[in-house]
Amino acid sequence: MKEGALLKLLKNPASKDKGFKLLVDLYQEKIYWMIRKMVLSHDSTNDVLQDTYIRIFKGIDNFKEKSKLSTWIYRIAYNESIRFLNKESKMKKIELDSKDENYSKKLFADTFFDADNLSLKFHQILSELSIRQRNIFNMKYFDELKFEEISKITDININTVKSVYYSVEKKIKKEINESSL
Amino acid sequence: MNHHYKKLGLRVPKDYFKRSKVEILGKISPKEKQPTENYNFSYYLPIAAIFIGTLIFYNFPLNNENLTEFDSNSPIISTVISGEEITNEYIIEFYSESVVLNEIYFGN
Repeated sequence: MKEGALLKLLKNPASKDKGFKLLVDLYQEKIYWMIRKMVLSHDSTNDVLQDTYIRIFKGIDNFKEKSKLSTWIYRIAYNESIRFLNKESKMKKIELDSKDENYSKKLFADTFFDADNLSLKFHQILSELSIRQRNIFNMKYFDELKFEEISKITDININTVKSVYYSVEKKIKKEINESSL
Repeated sequence: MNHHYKKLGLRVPKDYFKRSKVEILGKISPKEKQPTENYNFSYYLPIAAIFIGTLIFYNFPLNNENLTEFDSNSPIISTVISGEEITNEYIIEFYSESVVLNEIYFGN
């Protein structure tokens, strides 16, 4: 279904519920994985996913169509994840340009994480990146979003997004290749 | 999203997305919440109306008789009605008259 048709359903009070069901079908898994890679634990992801959909439902009437519907949805999911990480860190607001010191702790505490050599190598590299770098890399590499979309979702200049992605990708390729030799 | 498992070792519980969808729709559907809200509203509205009615009935002087009775004992209100100036002498005379009238009519 095209975004325009879905939006029509969502903006009409009579068909809003039907439209929302379709919206959940279309984006649930995509949003879930984007959130999961940010917050790491499955249970936390489930909470953030639900909050995200509640926010989408409440905010859809005010959606001004300045961006694609999917970009707007991803942006809400991204902001909800950041809000969760801030709440989780309790002490202070998280610094997106610094590393997540609890990355490994959160990962290994999750019962829905199965470790093997490749995944451990990936996570080791990801845990050494700043939160911002990691998000940009994950959105491009795993979620297959376009640079322009990532720029709009994260509010980071598109050229910065590109340069961050390519430098992280280079680093990961190098380290994975070295470890497999 | 198989590569999330292959490369990152992340998985989800069995049938998670099916159950999650039901949970999400249950949380946002106004049609499911409305009947409960309406029931509560219709249940509490008559009780609230009776409570407010009782308060008004017992706390506010609603007829003129009560107001007259109340006003006639006040020298200030009395001057407003008669148009006389309120002075110390007027107040003394007002209360003296009250005492005399009480003695005449009620024998106090």
